Amino acid sequence: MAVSVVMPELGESIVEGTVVRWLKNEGDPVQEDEPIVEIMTDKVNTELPAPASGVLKRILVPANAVVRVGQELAVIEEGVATSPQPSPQREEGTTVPQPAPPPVPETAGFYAPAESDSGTAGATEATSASMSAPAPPAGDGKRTGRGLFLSPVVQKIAREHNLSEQELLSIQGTGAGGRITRADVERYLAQRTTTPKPAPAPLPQPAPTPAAAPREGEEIIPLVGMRKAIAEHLTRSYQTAVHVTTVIQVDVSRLVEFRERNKESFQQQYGVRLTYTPFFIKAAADSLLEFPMLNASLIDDQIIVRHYVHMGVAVALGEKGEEGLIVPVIRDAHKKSIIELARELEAIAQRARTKSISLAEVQGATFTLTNPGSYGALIGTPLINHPQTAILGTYAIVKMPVVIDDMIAIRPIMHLCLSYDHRLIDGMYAGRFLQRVKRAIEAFEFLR
Amino acid sequence: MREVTLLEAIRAAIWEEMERAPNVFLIGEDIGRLGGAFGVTHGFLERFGPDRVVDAPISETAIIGVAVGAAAMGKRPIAEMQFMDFISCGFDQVVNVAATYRYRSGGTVSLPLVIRGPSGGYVGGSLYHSQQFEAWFFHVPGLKVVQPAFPDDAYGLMKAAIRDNNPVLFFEHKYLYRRIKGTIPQTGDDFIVPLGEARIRRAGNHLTFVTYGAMVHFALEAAQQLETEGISAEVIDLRTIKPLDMETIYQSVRKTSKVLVVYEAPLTGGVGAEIAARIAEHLFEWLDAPVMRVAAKDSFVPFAEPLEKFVLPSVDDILLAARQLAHY
Repeated sequence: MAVSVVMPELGESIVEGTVVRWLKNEGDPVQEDEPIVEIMTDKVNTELPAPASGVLKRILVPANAVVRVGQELAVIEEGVATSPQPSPQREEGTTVPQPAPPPVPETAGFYAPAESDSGTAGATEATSASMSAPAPPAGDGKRTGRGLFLSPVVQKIAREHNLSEQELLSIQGTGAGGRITRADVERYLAQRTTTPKPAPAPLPQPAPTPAAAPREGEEIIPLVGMRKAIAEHLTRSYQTAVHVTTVIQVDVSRLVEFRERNKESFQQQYGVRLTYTPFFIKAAADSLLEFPMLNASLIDDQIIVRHYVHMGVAVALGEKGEEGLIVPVIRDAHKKSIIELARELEAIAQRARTKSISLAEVQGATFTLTNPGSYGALIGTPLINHPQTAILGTYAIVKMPVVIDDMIAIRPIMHLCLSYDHRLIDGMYAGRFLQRVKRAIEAFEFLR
Repeated sequence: MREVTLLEAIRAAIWEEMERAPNVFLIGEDIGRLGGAFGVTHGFLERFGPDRVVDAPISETAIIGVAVGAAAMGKRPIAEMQFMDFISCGFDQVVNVAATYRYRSGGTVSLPLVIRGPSGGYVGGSLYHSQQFEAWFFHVPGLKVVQPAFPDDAYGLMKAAIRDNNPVLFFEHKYLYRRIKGTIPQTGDDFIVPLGEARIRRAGNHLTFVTYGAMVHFALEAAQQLETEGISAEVIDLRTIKPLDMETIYQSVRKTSKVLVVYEAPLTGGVGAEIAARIAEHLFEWLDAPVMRVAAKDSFVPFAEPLEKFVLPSVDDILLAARQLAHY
């Protein structure tokens, strides 16, 4: 019996996702609950398990395609003998190197050729699919070169509009494997506001654009999954918001002292590690209630101002941060105590690191906290997490000489760097907000 | 306007042409007293008499041979094949005699002949009652080939075929005979659908489906589903398979740059192969994806229903190919 693989609901408000890659090919045997396809939605990549054991009969949606919740992605033929079958889409005429044909099953009966080499008419042809054309390139990462394939009509349009090769290749392709489609070029031309430059005088040949094949000492990694989502997300943010960063210095003597004194008892009493971050969350959340514009979003012509704080906390993944970054969200952070924040933070960061976090847990943040101090960064300019309006970076705590009452003292000092969208926020507002956070941390009255 | 089935539209067209022109006559197996295996000629014997509704012996060679001779002598015969599968028995009369007549006579003899009959699968008809033989005759110069998908086209094309001065093969899809209803003009309107003109049955921007016969309805169903997925498919009903209306196809391909040709006959050597080749030859620079085809598997139509479904093209086959094409 055929069982459909359907795009599941991966979180509230999620209506679609993107097929990153198929982990199984048509004709592959699959076990129930075995991952068969990787799906990307916003920031979560997830693998869909097979709903039944059998053979993956048909893949209905190619890699890179956007799929709606409820859409059929593939069909599994349940309970079929799980011996490998030739992919039904391979036909004569394709250039895909074919393995030697499998032995003709006896059931082929009179369609079977008398001799296995007796020409084209035979069982393999009789069982071939009714679809003729070679399967379009699957954007599975093995065919990155396909992104550079320009179809005849794309070349024709480019020629007619004097698009240089470089300009053409700069267009974001939405076809299979990143191929630039006719629609992509036409969209690009429609949006291109500048008049085409006059044909330049012959110049020395520019360095060839990077070819698909890696040169010696290089490797080529397809931009897929979380990295692609981050790339697109940050590009949008960088191109949308007007970024400005303001820096302030905070004396964290009391914070450091409190932690040193209480970290063991805290662990024993509450079962959770005492870190600085819950204090920063608390200070920022309380301050945001007083500076709600920093907790707003500018969407089209509307400013959505929130009087609650869903705090996003950036968590780097991998030992060296090589596995990307995810921003779990602590909901209603302004209502929670330090201990609640500490517990929730530890749990959610753990789920992020083990990639077991749900989509709902990374959505809906109104403000983001990032902690480059954890890897020793002294100062920086964080990028806003669009469509939020600001992001607060907490940097390394280092002992520094400071002047207090005309005397030089040694104090643990931390920089707070606030990047904000200058379209909504003026410098003084941001500065006052930082002062408010600074006061909260320095006064250290969190546990009252 | 009259609401009729596709079968009734064909019957009305033949009836009206026989009323109109006394040299139109019918010949075929069981068409008189029985009224035809599917009832297309029901009531004709009573109205037009045995000289114009001729029950023939079971010999397609004889039926077509008589029709060819009568046409050469100025009659307008309509020869019925009880199933188009059996036209193979009269193949020589069609291909070597009827098709070549005008050429052989140096253009002095025209051959106003219609060979018509039920064609196609999806009715559990098995091997000899399910085939789509249009490609055999598509290949032959001197013949015209027609397969309508809707009653109005069936009505107007049958009239045009009867009035045409060349041999016309008229493939009537038996799956559509009583399934598809529609309106046709009143008798007095003299409504004609010219041979050789395709019709866009659904307009779209992203993909072009080129098809004919029962596949038109499959393609329309697929296009409707695709619309909900944001894919807009244009559906071209060829109506006349030969001569091909390439201009309508080319216009659509220039718009969409992506083509799926759908036909019910086996994939290899089908009508769609020629269409795909012409598009590649003449519109190469307009293509944004390979020209794709959906057709029957290169096998025979089995009797068992699940096997028939497996061999013949389905709406799902069209959807799968269309999605691949859309996302190419």
